[in-house]
Amino acid sequence: MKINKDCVVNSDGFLFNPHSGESFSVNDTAMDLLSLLKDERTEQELFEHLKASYEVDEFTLKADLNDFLFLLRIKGVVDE
Amino acid sequence: MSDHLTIAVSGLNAIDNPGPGVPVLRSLRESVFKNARLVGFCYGALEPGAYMKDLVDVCYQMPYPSEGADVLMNRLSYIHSIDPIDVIIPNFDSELQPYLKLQSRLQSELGIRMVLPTAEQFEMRQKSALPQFGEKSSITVPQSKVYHSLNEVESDMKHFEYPLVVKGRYYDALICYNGEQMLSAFNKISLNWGFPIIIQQFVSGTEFNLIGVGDGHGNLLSSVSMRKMFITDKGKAWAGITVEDEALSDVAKRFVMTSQWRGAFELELMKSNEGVYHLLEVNPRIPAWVYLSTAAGQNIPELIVKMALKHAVTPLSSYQIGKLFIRYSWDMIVDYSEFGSFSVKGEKTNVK
Repeated sequence: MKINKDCVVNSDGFLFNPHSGESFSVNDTAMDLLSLLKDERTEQELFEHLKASYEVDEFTLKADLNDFLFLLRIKGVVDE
Repeated sequence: MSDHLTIAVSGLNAIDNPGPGVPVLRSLRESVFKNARLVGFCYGALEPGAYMKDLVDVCYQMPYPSEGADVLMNRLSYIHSIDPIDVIIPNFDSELQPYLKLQSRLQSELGIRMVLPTAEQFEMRQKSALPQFGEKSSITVPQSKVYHSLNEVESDMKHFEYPLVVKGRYYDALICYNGEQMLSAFNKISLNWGFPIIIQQFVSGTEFNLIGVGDGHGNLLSSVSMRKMFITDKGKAWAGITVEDEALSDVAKRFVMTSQWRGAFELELMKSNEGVYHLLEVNPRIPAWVYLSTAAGQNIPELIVKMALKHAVTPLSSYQIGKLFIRYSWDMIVDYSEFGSFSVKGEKTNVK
């Protein structure tokens, strides 16, 4: 998956989808993921990146990552 | 180009359901016609646009549309005799019928030009006719039925599913969650605006509006889409942001292609949670948020004046995405003598 090329994320963590007009505030972890998604990434790659960067158990990480990616998909922020 | 041009604009009120006149004038002051003489047509001495000296050079009070086309023609003839007008931009739905009746006379007798849809186009987008238009144009329109009396609606009540929307022919729409609310809304709206009343399926989702201009031959000359970000209790956008969605533009193209629309229009749409755009209403005129389109790069009032003057126009194809409008109210301070003079004389010249 990859972030939709038209979506804009500024350095303050403000994400704007120009197709839906929706905007979101995202935290540092989300910013970290969104910057990775500027290039094509698999869910496994995102998981490995977060596992290496944060102190978190795999179960929690998997659940949180799934939730976040689900939101990105339904809000049209990422292309599969 | 514009030094000797006179353009008249109506809709200078600015209540919580504001008229489009002030943003139309603001757009014209930022257009190639910025030096034109701008005339305001008002229905009362308290319309704030009349006191905006940077936007309006002179104002005239006008007869209400309900007084008919002949009364309007007399008033326009008088105004034209002292202040020759080149172009009129009427900005209220209720004005369009008298102006449509007078369109050819105004041009042939006074040389005044307008860009209006035809009477047939005006009728085909009426709320009561919208479902048929939707079928013809392959645009999704919520199911609706037209009622001409309370008896009719009472006999249909057992078939209703709630929530639903009760709408007046020209103005007003109320969401109702049960039969009691529906009857109350039906009575309230029919009392204010008369019959017919339209009962429409409620679609939940996100509201989008699109402003556009058709050339009268099925081509879209301009189109800007906006997502409503803040909505008043009257359902009016108080803040909005420009967006770009091909599916939304396609609806506008199909609308213009099917109707052969001439002039400005506004599409009110609801994007359902399934991602389908439902066309709720078509307004046959420039909407009050038109200045957002000007600021984003498409000056629609300028385009309308060019069309009226038969200047060559090229389709406006792009605009800036992510531009917001945030509406506010502003108290102007006016001396009583200025208000009194306009009230009594029905005319007002603004000295900058």
